[in-house]
Amino acid sequence: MVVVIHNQGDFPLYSAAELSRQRHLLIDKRGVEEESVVIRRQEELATAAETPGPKSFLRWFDRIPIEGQSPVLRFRNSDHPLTGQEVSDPPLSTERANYDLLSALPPRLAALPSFWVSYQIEMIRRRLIQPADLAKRPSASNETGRARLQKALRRKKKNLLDQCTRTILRQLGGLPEERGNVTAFVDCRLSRAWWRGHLSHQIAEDFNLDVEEVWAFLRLADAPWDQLQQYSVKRLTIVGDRNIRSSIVARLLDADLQAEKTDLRRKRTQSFLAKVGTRGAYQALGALTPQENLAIFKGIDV
Amino acid sequence: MSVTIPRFFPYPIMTSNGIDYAEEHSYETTQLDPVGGRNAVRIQHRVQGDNLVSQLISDGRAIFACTVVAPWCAYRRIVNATDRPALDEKEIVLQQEIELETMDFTHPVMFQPAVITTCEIQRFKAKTSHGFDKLWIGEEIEVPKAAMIAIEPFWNARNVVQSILKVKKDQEGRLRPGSFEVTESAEQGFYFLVEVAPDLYEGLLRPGRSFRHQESIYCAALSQGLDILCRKYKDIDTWNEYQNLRLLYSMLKEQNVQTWDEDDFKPNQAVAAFHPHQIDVNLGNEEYDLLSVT
Repeated sequence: MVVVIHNQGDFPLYSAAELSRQRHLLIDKRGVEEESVVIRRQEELATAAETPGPKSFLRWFDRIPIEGQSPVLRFRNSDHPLTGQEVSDPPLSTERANYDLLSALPPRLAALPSFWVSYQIEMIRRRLIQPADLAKRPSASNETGRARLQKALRRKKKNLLDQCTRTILRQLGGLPEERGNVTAFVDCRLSRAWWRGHLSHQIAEDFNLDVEEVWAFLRLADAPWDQLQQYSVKRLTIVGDRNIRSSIVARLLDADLQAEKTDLRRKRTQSFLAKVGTRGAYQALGALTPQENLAIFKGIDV
Repeated sequence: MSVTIPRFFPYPIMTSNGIDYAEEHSYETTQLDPVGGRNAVRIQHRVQGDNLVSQLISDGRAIFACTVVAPWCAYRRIVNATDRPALDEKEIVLQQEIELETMDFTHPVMFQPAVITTCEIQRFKAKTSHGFDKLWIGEEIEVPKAAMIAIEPFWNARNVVQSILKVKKDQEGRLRPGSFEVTESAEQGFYFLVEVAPDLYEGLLRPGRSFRHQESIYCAALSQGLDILCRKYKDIDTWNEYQNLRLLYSMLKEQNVQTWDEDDFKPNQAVAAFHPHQIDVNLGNEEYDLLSVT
């Protein structure tokens, strides 16, 4: 194991392999272990998160070896600790502040769940995140993460312990074992904020648009953000090409998609992406400029 | 009697085992070792025959290019070849090197070489001199800008199984037909050299519809490679010096299977965790064609 000297604001990176193994142990997808064993592990994590202060939660992470230090990024303290709401469902101002602190982060690291675990553990160590807030559900604004954990530990609701564990793991970089590699783009709020900021800047630059306007559009609940990420990671990789992605978002903005309800926005995005995929099967759209692609996409119904 | 032309593309496209061009016309690529052991991918593009593809390259209206895709970090980019190709009456050849260090992605990475038009080709009537199959002759064709007029399937780091293997043809005739031999190389972050009998070599590079068979052969080769690691590094950790082995080790851990320094390590099981053997009994030709271009 690499010996890490923690200095000069750098922070340690946890072993991706061991993090994955621990997630497997906590979410026994294949049902190969006794249920009671899995529940005991989940209780251990939930108790560590529920205990006030960072020590107990950090001690849980002592079991995971450290592989090195963040090679390119020095940790920068934010102005204030994040509230539970900012952790579970950050407003645009929080997303922007988080992105600004991490704007130098290379995308290859930003795509790794293990990076976001390491980064958030460092935030916990510096008391910028309360561990219990990791268990807060994004949609339940009144219930705190601690209250949810306490309810789960008292077994007031069937499966709540399992749900809390999944919420914590999703927020801590994502749950790739269950959700695939798109998890870092859609599940972890901090990494999602980074990717939204990163892509909003690219799109705004390509079309001379207002970054805030693009960012606000990409923040609309679920659609089109989730579809764009799922397609670029899993289904239609041409969406990952900047020359194409920027034009797709510009076309969706142009089609006033923001005025639609979530469900219709999702359907229209999927239908549009399918048509772009058909075109991309015989034309290398990535070889065209964003402006040339937008001209083509204007001829495709959204 | 009318004949229906099985067209997926709105214009003829040159592919391995494709039907749009007559047999003597082909586009193929070979992966070469990068110069000076750099972190790069070197591709040799080759268009054979006098046909629309070679004519458009010759007059500067089409170029060789390669798509680089790293889906796990939502990365995709087309890298154009910038050098001028060597022109010959019978073939056009160009070597393209893609520097990987300048790109910001994580593994796995996939590559798809292609020939792409740099401008729109106005409507024209397909003639024999374009090299097309007779089914296209007489058809009115127009080709948009950035059209992929020749493509190869995605290759190389399509999966971890293939990314750590380097295939080389047995030039000395040492190997029995249909066989291969695996040795290790500490160069370029470590890889397994798979020396392949000449008859098997061609099929491995361009498997066409036998791509599942090709993948199984790669799996067998990687299994042998892992067996070498197990014998060599079971009790010493000097494998840590090699970037590719560190990656492979962490990927094995991620898959929750034993690693070569553990007592119950089983190479075949480890490979199957990355890449389970599959037989697609229902995979029809049409689906294969779609798979090869998406």
